[in-house]
Amino acid sequence: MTAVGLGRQPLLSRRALSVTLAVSVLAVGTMAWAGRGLTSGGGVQAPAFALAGQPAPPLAGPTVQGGRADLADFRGSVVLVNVWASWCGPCRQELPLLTEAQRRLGPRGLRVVGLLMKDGEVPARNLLRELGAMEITSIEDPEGVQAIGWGIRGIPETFLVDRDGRVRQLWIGPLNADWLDHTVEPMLTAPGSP
Amino acid sequence: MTSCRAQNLRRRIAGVVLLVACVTGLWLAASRAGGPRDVTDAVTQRLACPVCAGQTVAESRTPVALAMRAAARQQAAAGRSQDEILAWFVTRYGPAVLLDPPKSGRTAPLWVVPLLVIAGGGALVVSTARGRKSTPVHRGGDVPLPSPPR
Repeated sequence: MTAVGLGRQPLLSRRALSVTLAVSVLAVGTMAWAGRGLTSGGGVQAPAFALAGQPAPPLAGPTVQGGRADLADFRGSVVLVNVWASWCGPCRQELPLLTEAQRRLGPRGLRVVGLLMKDGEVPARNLLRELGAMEITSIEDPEGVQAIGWGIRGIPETFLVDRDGRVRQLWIGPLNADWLDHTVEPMLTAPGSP
Repeated sequence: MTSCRAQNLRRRIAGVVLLVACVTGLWLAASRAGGPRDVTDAVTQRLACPVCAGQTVAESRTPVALAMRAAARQQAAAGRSQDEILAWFVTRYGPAVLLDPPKSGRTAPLWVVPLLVIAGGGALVVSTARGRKSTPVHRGGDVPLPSPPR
């Protein structure tokens, strides 16, 4: 017996299936690449951010230490602007590393400046004392408005500002020693360094 | 007679009071529109919260959104316009911070890519369905078609 007529075919031909599969792989790969700086258990360097290469936004005000500070006064130094708060666990984790960096690299031109976001002066000062980190000048930002001027999405975040006052890198999450050694330290020995 | 005149007078007074109330209400509403509070509300409703899914800065209660509201409020109080404040946020967060990104060359992929994907998917489905309908399939090997009865 011979059967002639419209036979059943798979919903997608082999060619269409291949194209769909290729597009899916490409889409997933693109999303993974685009989001690689955003998802991590620890910190990561942001692959791109709006302030990259731009002059550092204004940052000035009273400090946790009791004086006043202005980022503009540190022009000529390489500055790490660290956005933190005493209520933020990962910030507590990275403060000793920042303190050590300030001590070790300070004589070569590094300055660590804290931006205390939406926090009280007393708990912040207590934490700095507890961790022996009082030398990290921290500018108070009770409403978080100055932090928004830096385009922050969460804390901790750390911006690397070069000697000309331009924002060069953004580290999202708790810092690690590798980033300090391989990204921050080379800037201290770059041409024009003291 | 007297009571009738008094009644007319009362009606007229009531009419005047009502008119004054309406005019005052309209004047107050007009004078408030475009004030710092309205500018802040309008701006925060046009900003996407950068750390939450599908919420505006006006809706979100995250610390970042609250700080963004404070920044918008501060700038509105300083007399900056909606567009100026939105532009300030774009320089900090990029065009994706706007719920309605501008249709410029740089943001064109945001508008074009979804349309291309939909068009491509539709074309793929249509062409596959057509091919499925029109392709005759032989079953049973190389047997020739039977001749029609004479």
